[in-house]
Amino acid sequence: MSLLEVTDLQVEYASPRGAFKAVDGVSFSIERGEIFGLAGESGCGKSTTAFGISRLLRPPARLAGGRVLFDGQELTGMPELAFQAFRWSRMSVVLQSAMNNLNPVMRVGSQLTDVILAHEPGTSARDAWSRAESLLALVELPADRLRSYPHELSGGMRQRVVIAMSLALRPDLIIMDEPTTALDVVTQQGIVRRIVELKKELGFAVLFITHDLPLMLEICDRIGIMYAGKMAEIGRADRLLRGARHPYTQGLLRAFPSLTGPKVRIAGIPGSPPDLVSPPAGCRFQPRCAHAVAACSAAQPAMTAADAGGSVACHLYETEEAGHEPVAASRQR
Amino acid sequence: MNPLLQVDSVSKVFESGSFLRKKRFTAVNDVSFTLSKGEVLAIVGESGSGKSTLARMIVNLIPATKGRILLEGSEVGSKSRSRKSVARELQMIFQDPFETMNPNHRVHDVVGRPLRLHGATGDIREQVLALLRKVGLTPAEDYIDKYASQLSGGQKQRVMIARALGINPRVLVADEPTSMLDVSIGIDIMNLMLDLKQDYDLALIWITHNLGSARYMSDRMLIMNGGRIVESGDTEAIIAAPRHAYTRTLLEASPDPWRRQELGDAARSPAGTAEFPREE
Repeated sequence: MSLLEVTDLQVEYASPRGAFKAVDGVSFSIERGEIFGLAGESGCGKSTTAFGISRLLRPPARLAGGRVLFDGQELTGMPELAFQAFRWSRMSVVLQSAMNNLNPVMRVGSQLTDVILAHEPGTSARDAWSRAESLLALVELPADRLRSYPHELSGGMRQRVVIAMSLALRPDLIIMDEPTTALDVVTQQGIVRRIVELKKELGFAVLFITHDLPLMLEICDRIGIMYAGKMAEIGRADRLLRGARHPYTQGLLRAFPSLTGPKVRIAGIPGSPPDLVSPPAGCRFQPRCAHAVAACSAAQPAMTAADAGGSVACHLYETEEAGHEPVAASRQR
Repeated sequence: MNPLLQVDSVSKVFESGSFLRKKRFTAVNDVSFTLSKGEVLAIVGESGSGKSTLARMIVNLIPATKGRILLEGSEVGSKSRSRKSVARELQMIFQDPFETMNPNHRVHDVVGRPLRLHGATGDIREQVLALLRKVGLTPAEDYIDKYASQLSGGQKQRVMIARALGINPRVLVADEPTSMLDVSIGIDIMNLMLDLKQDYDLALIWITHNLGSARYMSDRMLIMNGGRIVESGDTEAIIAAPRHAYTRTLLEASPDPWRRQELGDAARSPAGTAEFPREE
């Protein structure tokens, strides 16, 4: 049984021009101890998917359908109070720029012990404090930082504090939404390395969301690529790197200038993502796709299994005869 | 041949605090380099490296504390040169397209104003339309009357490029113009700037924190750290064999699975999870 199983997730937004689905039928699963990446460009629904799973959606967004199973337990119908206890203890969330969400007038230590005391009311203050100390040690911060206020810490240190906080109750799954996007690359590398080490030590799974596909390819076990509210492709990171299947994934991979290989002109992806209030007929990527055939504007492609446990939603792979070859991103460069 | 732009031992010191207890912060520390016609120079550094402060001094938005910036031998920011004459030659594209345009101004105003200020004659609307076509906003008639708030980030950045190009500058300073954009949009902006550089015979200063984009854009690069240039030279040569420890750190920290794949096990990913190449 997978740790997390998301089936046909739908998130609807109300807008003056009519309701639209920011997440439209997204399905994927995360295994224990796995880092699963969710990638895509602005507005593709990757963060909204995470918010839907962790029930952090605020109006005008609402969960419009789908099932979320966590360790066999249905989350979608769970009463709010039960969910509040569940969130953080079994599934925690590190938000984008979470480092700016620390309370500026509370010491780091009080904020960490708050989490522990709120979820485990019987804990003594002394125990909570010593647990907070060991949490800081996990993210490689000295214990005396517990007495610091957030403004006394750098951005990278604050983000480490937030990660420590997410680890406080030893969750099975941590959802990280662009956890290092606001940081410099050297700081990012330190934090990402630590997340992966901790994952190995403590065995939690991570849903890692970022637009930084190269970073994702380096740290994730499997990756889901989203486009316009739908899942375009899911595959193992090494498999995507050697041969992405979906034309959107291929285009996205190409668009990152690499530090290696011949210096050639890179073509972007022509056009722009569709208006979700009135999405194009058939495949949502079809108006921008260089490989589009007649079938693409006729019907939406279903997610179909491909080799190596991957799957892809693209008409080009639905029939054997189409014989569309995956293109190795590395060879294209 | 004289360089087009010469930056000569430039420093910038910011002062804060009271008269008696002054605090000094050196944002740019004794930086020198030259830029030739038609060249693309990348300035690479992390936040706080001084790269944006340097850019602002070059286009005369802020004065240098020490040192000189010479454009074809004449000093930028000296009293003998008006701000306007500097602006005519040196233009800047800023990082955040969402903040650089007044949302209540139309594309026509944004692109047309510098033309008028610099004494353009004839049909300004026609000239704006031509500029919009030049930056790929076609059909230009659809864009010229739009408000800035109706444009996407990529479109705004194209408008800013059109605005900067209108008065035929010699040097374009681009301060991370793609960092706020999605990659598939950003790469188009990079391609556009490379094309325009060719067409207008511009010299380009490309400021970035991203080594991949520096490699894509530039012939030569400067690596900045703590206000100083720690390494400079041919872009490919630096990436192939960085000499300064900081450049190596930066290079190692830059996510690039293709490079790790090529380097093999010697440079496993920072996480050590993904092993390349791997067969099923």
